[in-house]
Amino acid sequence: MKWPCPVCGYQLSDPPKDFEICPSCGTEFGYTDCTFSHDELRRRWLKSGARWSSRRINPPLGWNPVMQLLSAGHGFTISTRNTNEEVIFVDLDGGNQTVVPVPSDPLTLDSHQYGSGSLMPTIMKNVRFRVV
Amino acid sequence: MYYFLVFFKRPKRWTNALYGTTHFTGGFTTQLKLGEHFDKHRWQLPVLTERQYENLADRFLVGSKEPSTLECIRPHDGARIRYNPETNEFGVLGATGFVLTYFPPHPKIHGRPTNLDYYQDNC
Repeated sequence: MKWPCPVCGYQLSDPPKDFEICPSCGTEFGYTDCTFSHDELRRRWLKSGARWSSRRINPPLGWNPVMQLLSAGHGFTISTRNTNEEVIFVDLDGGNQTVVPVPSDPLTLDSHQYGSGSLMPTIMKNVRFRVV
Repeated sequence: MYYFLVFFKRPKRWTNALYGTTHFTGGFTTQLKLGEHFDKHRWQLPVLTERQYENLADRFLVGSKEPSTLECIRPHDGARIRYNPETNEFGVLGATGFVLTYFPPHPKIHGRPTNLDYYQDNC
C-alpha cells in the first residue's frame, strides 16, 4: 500500500506521519509540517526548484516533479524562457489544462504529456516556479 | 533469512554490566530510515557516522534521563517523547521500542515560538 505525500505527491511506503521523511521533497512529517501548511511547504519546494531530496533513494526512472504534482492533483503555473526569449506557460485551473505552445520550438507541449521529449529538461533548468 | 533480519531489525536487549539494569535499544526500524534521518540531521549534531547518530539517539531516549530532560508519553500510541532544553535534544521512541527520530529542533523549521512549545505540542 502507498500513501501520497501531501506536499509533493510522491507515493510513500509509510503513512506521512510520525517523523517519516519524504524522499522526494524532504518533508519530515511532525517536524517540518508542524506549523507550516502542506500548501506552503509545496510552494517552498517549488520555489527552490522542486529537486529530489533523498540521497539514499534514487528518484524513479524518468522522474518528473511536474508530473508527480499533477498526478496528485496539485496545480500550479510555471514559466520559462527559451532561447528565443518566448514564454511557455503550463497553466492548470480547476483541472482544466491550458497549454500555450511556443511557435518557434519544434516540440509542442501536449496537454496530457507535459515535458514530453527533451523539452522538459530545458524547462527544469531555467524554470521559475510560481504557485497560483 | 539473513536479508530479512538485516532489513527488519528487532529490539536488542542489553544489560548494564555495572548496574545490572536491562534496557531495550531498538535503534531505527530500518537501515534506510536511519540513513534518511542521519542525512537530514547530521549537520546539527557532533556525529560523523550513522552509528554515532543512532547511539546518541539510543542514549538520549533509552538511557537514564538527565534531570533537565522532559519526558512524556503520547496518549494515543504510547510513544515516548523526550526533550532536553539545556542541550536542545529532541527524540521520539515508538511504543514498539524503535527510534522514530532524534534531532535538535529549531523554531525556523517547526514554526513554533520556542522549542519547548514544539515539545509540548507533540505531547
